[in-house]
Amino acid sequence: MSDDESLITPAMEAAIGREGEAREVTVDKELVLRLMRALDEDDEELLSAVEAGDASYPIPTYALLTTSTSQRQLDVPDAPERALMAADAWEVKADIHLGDKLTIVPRLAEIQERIGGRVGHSLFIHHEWVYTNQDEVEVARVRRTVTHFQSRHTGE
Amino acid sequence: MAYDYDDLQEGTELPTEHRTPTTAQVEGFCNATGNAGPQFLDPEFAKDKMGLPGPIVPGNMKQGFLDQYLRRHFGRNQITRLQLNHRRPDVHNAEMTIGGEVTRAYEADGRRMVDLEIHIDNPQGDRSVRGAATITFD
Repeated sequence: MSDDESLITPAMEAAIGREGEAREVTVDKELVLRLMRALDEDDEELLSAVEAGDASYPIPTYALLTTSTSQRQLDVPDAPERALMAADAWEVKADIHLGDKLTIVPRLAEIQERIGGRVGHSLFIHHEWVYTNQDEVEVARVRRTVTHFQSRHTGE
Repeated sequence: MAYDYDDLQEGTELPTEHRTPTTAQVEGFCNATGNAGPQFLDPEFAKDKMGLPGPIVPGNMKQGFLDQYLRRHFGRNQITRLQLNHRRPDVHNAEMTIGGEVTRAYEADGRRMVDLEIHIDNPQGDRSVRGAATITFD
């Protein structure tokens, strides 16, 4: 493929805007604790509340990262295999608590193309997830941009 | 100590802090989040397949560090927006410097809010993450 030929195929274009299957997940105390340890969390009040399983205590947004396996990225047809995360945008609208039952709906929001740059000819694929809790309140909207590229990364 | 809204104005710099994520921490993070990308833990895959200098720190782990950094400075006030651009990979066991600066303090819809520029620099002084955040005060 020549470098000026678009990487966006008709199948890829047709997938833009597609919503995936909703998944349900519970904010799990043990996973949140493991995550807090990996991040060397030093907020003693927060650690005590989570260790005690206090479901009324608002926990950090990063606790949503424990739901990553349910926050599946939709498959994008024909996307180059090499990929790295390029950007993340979290919009947080309500508190998150241990035990919250969240519904996550994924969507392929947008695809942009870039010729040149650090990784050569590449695609910026924007994925979006909407998190809604058991009270049907939207708690967060997460947008991730993944760069898909054909050349090896320069490491820079 | 957490900042009050009245302490902040455009240009207020937050103190920097340093984090050095070890391979064990990255393993713990991947385990807690179910993130199994081989570029995070497999040196051969990272170097040979991806062309990276070595296994890298997951982007969302750096997001966790920035979330912690903001909570350290803004206490229980809510981080309502956290936006990150990953500009360069960070490798394990390398010191990262985290910092931030207020870009705007304002009231909107009867709520007091502060916008910030936030970042992570690698040991060479290159910016590996450039981001923005909004804090909404109670």
